[in-house]
Amino acid sequence: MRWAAALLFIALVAAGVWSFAVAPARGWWMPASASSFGGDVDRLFGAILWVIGVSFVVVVGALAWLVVRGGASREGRARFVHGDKRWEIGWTVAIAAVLVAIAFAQLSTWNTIQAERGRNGAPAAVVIAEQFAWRFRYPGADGKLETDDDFVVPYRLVVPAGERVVLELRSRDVIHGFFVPAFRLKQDVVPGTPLTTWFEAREPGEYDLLCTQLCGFGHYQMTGKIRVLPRAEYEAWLSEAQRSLASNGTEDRR
Amino acid sequence: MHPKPGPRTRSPRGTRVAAAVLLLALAGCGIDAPPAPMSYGLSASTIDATRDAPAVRKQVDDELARLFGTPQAPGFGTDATWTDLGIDPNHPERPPPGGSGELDQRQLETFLAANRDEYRKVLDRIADGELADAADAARRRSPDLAMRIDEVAARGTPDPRLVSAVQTTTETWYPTLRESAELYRQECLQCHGVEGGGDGPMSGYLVPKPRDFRLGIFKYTAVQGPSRPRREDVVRTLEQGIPGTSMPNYQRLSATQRSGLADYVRLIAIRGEVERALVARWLEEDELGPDAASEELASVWEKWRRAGEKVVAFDGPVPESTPARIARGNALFHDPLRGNCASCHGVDGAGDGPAAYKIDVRGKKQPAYVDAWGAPIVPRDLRQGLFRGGSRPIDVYRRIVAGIPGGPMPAMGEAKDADGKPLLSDDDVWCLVHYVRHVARAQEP
Repeated sequence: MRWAAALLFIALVAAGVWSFAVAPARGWWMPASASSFGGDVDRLFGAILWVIGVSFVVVVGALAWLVVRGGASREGRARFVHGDKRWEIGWTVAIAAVLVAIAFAQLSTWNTIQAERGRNGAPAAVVIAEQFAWRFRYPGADGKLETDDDFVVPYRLVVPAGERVVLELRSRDVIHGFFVPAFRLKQDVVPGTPLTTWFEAREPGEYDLLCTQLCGFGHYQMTGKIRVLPRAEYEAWLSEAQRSLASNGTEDRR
Repeated sequence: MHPKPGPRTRSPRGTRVAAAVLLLALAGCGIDAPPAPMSYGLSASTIDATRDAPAVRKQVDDELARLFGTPQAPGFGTDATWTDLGIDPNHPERPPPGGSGELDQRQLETFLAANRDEYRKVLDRIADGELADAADAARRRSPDLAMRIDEVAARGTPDPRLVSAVQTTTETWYPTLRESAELYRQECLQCHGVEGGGDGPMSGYLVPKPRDFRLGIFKYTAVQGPSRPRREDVVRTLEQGIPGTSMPNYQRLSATQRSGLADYVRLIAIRGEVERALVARWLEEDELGPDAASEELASVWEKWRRAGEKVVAFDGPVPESTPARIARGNALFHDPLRGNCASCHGVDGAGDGPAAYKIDVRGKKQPAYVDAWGAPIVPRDLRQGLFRGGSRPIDVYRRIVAGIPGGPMPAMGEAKDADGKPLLSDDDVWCLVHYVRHVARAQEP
């Protein structure tokens, strides 16, 4: 029985290590990083994955060993141990050291994504989150947000490539989560609290936008796209979209 | 000190029983039962009206099945009038011989681009000559397209001309009504119901309620009401969603799929209209002849066919939003003899005008109007910046000029004063548009 239990632990370790080892090759991994800070986030993620991976193997291995060593089928009673100061200080300090090291290692990345978000200029667009859709408000021909000639597009946020894009996030109803996996960017959208976020998309392309806060029955379909265009194409799109605001409806005639 | 073993709280037998129950419960999960076949039902008002006339109820049901099929095999029943009109509503993409067709060149080009994107994998496999693989790649998105490819694949080694024909079929694919009905089942039915009655299982949890299509009334269109919507109007709602309601946008579907969904919505809306017309006719004439259903279908269809005739548009460039126009819009908004908007929408545009409410016997303020679907209706709070029919100036212009069908919002474009002169000139309407958009801008979160 205790051998079976120990094998269960070892199988758990093997399955865990195997799934992480084969995942990237099988496409079970994150999409390729496409933003300026995505690489930093990935490096941190990789480092932390190694730390917890090794801890996982050590802890579960130790459990398996203890099950075999101290299984109930042995004769005699188990020894009651109240504690050992040296061991306890040892592992507390070791864990604290790892956590402090991680805390310092992530400081600059955190700073880049969070603290600098307000220092990248004016928002290019306002993201409006509502049950259950993303809408994006762009400045009209005057180039300024919050004026009468702003226009709103649903679903697809269009931004220029290779530039810092600042967004203002607002919610109409409940908390939503602005999540762009390819950019390694996740920021809650909180009603009543205008927040900003930013990213710099490296390559033109279309990337998924998801809501990551359970926001109601339609949460699953609260998706969108972020279309990254070269600067010239972005400007062409913007002026074309601004023109559509001046539609007089005659294009609907047959 | 050794802690004493406590009393056993759970017997091994109890644990085993609990585990067995859990296993049995879990055994029910993960079984992919095929959906039970659905059928179109009759509306509550039909069932109510034909309570004592089972023969009539059955006749209505049979006639509707003949003219509109079932949710698994929907389609307009063949009738001589279709060919006369030059339109085949079962195949909007294919004009019948001598007919004009329903979809114009611009739309067909949009679909071509959308299909090349949607069926990229399928087209790649066709280009490699792997037709069986191509059919498999198409199956989930479009079972009928997969079937067509399978037919060609079954003939063995295809010659290049056949391959290029399959490629054209894929690129110009337009969903069949059967496919659109399946898409409707997946995306729309939960709220809008099998018959489009706005009574799907989720409908009880939504405010406002999902639209009941069976009246043939659609609120946000580009046409002068109470005309039926054009396909493009329904497609636009699918593209944009309706902000401030539970209707999301469906941009994750392809343009072709959205157009197909609009076709299917038209089918079930017409079905509902014919059902109502049949019952009304029976109540009036006390009998239903063998041609009654076909005649009603022809007259309902005529309304839908003429939908595109009265598009609300403005010849000339949209007047700019200037402080002077906004000020004039403000004056018109509050002038009881001109715009008179404030009487319902309130002095601040908050939707709290006195004309829209009444005081009930308990002294409570209640909405004064009900809409065509029987639900109490309140004027829009314009300050929220939620324009359900779209926030472009032309969208607001259309709401003011054509009104909103099904509710008390009047068509100001047709409003006349005592001398028969129009209450508002075109420029007046644009002033109101800019004022309303200005009010909305000041408040939107």
